[in-house]
Amino acid sequence: MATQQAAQAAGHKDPGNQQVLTFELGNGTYGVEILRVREIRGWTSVTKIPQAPPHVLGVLNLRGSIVPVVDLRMRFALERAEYTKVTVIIVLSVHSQAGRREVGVVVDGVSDVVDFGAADIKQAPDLGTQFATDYIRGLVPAGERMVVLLDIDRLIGTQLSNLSSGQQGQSPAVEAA
Amino acid sequence: MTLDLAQFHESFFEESFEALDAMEAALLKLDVGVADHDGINTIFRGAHSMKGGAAMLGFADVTSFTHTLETLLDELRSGKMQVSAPTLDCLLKSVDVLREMLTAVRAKKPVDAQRVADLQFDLEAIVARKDAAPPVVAPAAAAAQAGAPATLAAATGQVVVPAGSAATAGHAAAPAASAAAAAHAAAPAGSAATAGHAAAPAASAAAVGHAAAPATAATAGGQIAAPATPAGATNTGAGGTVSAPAGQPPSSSSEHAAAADAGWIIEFKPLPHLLLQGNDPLAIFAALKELGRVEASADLSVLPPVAKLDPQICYVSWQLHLHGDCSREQVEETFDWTTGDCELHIERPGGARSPGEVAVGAAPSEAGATVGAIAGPASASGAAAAPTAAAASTAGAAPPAQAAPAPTGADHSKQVTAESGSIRVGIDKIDELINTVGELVITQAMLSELGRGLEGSAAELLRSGLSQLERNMRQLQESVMRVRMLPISVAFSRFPRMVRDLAQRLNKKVELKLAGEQTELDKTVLEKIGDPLVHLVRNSIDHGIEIPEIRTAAGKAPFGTISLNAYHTGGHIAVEVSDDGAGLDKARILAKARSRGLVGANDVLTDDQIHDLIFLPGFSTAEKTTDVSGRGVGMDVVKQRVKELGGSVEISSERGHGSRFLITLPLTLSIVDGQSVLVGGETYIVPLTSIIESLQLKPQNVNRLSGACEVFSFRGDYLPLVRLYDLFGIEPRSRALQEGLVVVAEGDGKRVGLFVDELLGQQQVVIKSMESNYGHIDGISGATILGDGSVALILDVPGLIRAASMRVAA
Amino acid sequence: MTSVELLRLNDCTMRSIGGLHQELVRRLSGTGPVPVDRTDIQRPNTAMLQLLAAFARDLRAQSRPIEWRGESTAFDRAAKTLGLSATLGLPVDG
Repeated sequence: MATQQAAQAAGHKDPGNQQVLTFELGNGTYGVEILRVREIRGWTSVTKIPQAPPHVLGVLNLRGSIVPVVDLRMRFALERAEYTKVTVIIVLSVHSQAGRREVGVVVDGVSDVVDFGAADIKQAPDLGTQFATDYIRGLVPAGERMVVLLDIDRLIGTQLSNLSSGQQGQSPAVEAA
Repeated sequence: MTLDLAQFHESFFEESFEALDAMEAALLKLDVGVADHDGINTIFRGAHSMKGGAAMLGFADVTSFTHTLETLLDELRSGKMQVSAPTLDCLLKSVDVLREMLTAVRAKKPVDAQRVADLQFDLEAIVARKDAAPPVVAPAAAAAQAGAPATLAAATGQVVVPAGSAATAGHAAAPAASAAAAAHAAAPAGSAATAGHAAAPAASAAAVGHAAAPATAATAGGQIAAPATPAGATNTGAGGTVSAPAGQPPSSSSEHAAAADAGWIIEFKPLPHLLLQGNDPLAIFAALKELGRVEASADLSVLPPVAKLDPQICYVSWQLHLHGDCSREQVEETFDWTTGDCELHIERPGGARSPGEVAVGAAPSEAGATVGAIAGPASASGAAAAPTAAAASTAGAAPPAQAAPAPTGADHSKQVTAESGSIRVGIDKIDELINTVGELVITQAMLSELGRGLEGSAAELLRSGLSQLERNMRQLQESVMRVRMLPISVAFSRFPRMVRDLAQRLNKKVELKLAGEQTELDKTVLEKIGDPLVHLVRNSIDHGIEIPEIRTAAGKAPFGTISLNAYHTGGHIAVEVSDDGAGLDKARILAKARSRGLVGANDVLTDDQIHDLIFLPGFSTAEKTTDVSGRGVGMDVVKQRVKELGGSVEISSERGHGSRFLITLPLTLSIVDGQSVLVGGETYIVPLTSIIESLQLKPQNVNRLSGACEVFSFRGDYLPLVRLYDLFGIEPRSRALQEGLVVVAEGDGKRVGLFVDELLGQQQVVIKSMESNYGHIDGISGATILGDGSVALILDVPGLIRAASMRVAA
Repeated sequence: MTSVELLRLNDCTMRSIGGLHQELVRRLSGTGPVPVDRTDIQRPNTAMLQLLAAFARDLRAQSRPIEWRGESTAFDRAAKTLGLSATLGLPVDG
């Protein structure tokens, strides 16, 4: 299974520049800051959690810690997909109200690490209330693709703390709407 | 070269806070009427070393304040001043202020200068006035005053001890005084009579002739480190015989010197609360009689007139002469029950207060101080050469010391051994250690599982090796868990002060009893249980214990008692907070609950259910809420905190008699013995301590209540049946009862049957938190990693019961 | 002169000793000797004996005698054990 060595090696600093790990999900390409990536794993079975919202698949063992795993497809209200041999779990370090947490996200596959400067980030268009985009930091052209830069704290962090304060069973769509 | 002192800051703060704790404890002991030279020295030393450290590190405010404090303490230490109630209050406040100052300095925040200045002014005023208020320690004072004339008289070589003074002299002084008298070889009958017959001849030999001692006494200014003058017949100048060398290593010479069957002289001075502790001198003396003939002489010098006395307080002290040849241990054993409730001296007649008695465990100078001081008046008597100044200073030293001969050796020596042989370790290091051991447990479990599947002779060897490994792991785990365990006395220690202050504020008389202080808990549990205990004790004092008038009118003692008790039971720790106050008023609680709509007008509740109502948020039936315990904000928080620790709290109460809150906590936070169960494809762990029994039910054993809830009969009760697959939303292997098993489990006093597919193995599991990365799940207390690396959830039985009942209600 | 009322002693506990205390305080404000009957005492305790000792002493200071009536070996023995026989004014027999 891939390790985080590559991720760490790529983490050298250049204040203006950002390094982002890109991954595929459905038809889109998304990116997260490399420094937030703890580990990349192949798909392993997770232990289900009672009363969890549907996009929280369960928990797994990350070197001794219990880490929840979230299916981003469901988060983005995409169609569910089969988990295949190339399905990957990216374990991220997320900041929430309750502090720093580790959360795994299931993605279709990991692409490469992309380098770009702050100037390259374009603002995401305001699509009105139908599609909330507060978890999108911006859009970055990378070659022919457009990478959607994610603010994972907003994407996952808030969601999980909602969970622990007892607001279970709410579909993410409600929150996004 | 500048030295970076910052590195010393942290240890200065840590040590200072500890010193403040010790000072506070010593001050509180002074409060209870035991003027203790050791105590005052402890307090003085604490202030002194803090001053030194603060000065070196440049903390000017702290240095200046502790300097003033030290000045006052020095006056007390040298006997130039008596400890009075206002002084004591001021000293306790100083401890508080110092704590605040240190906290502020440590956090680099400004100190509350006004508060410090005010208190400093008060301290200086006390020193300037040499406060003449009646000393707290009345008996000692009476002794001192009575002792003084004897002393001075003695100093002039005329040992005329007026019978009266010997009679009023505090017990400690009596033998010495009579000894002084005896130097004249004419013990006035009066003094002998009250001081105990046997004492006269004996003590005459003792203490007389301290030519050397007084000189040292003068120089030590009350800290009499008498030189090791050899015991036995000595020429100490003033024609004395046996001297009382203090600080001499426990020599049995004086003991052996005395005739073995002369028996023992026992001085027994109960502390005022001895009777309230359930001890009765009658019983003790009766037991003593089994060792030989006993002559008792009672000292009624502090017994107040009937109209003024409190019949539950012990004012009488005794001197007993036990005839017979028993050992000191046998005598001490008879007084076992009274440790801490009295002052006890056991000595041979004819020998001085034997050095062994006083010197055990106590720092030599203090032992010296006590012995020397007591011998003071007498010593001055023998020494014709003794300058009056020496007599005066010994007399001065006498008052604080006389009333408090060194505490019975036992608990001093404990202190000494406890202080040595320990090191400070950062908590992060310990946690790391525990985590690593936890990982080891998992790895070992994994290996064991792998080993199970192998074949062949090598496999046998491997399995036996693994089995050995498992044993070692268990031991390692237990040891490591114990590293984090601390005695609950750490949590209890704040209560004497708190109870004293609070009771004073509310004009109530409260006595605090602590028991089971050595019971150990995990450090984290200990830290988190502190606040709930504080709430409970505050509530007891505020709403439980009645004011003295009401208590006496109800035929109760004016002193209310609050007991804190901790003990191990089964796999848990129990902590009890009980009081003999007014108890819970069920009618009022129910009425309040009804008025708030928490309980239906026609609902019938059991007593326990009514009591439990007080745990609902915002509940308070106090007529006026004091700022002490607030608007009942305490109770629901107490319950919450205890739950967070994996524990539970139970109330029992009887109107008019008192209440008891019982908190049950798990022994450790991170390891649990678990039973694995299979539900559908998922493995869950049920803590073994919650399991009562497992059994198989048939459909006909189960009845339905109100359509939804299933119940079955178990040992005479009907218990609810919880189908775990349903609760967790899993597809089970079978829904048929006869194809699965029911695990009967218990939590929070309630029982439930959990329907599972199958029972798997039992193993010890390391609990991993769900909350750190995910959050709380009802019915789940945590997770663990199985031998195959997968995650299994650990069930929380009380939570399951609640979750199940909520679903039924829904 | 007030009539001389016999004071009957009963066993008391730490809880109930308040009653005896009140009675003794009352007696002290009277005049004349106080006859005290100790027959009913079977379980004496230090608190009671201490209280009675104070009472006897205070009475003596008023030049009023305690007159012991009845018999109780338990009481007398306890008083002797505690060295209070003399103060209590009990008949001393050794």
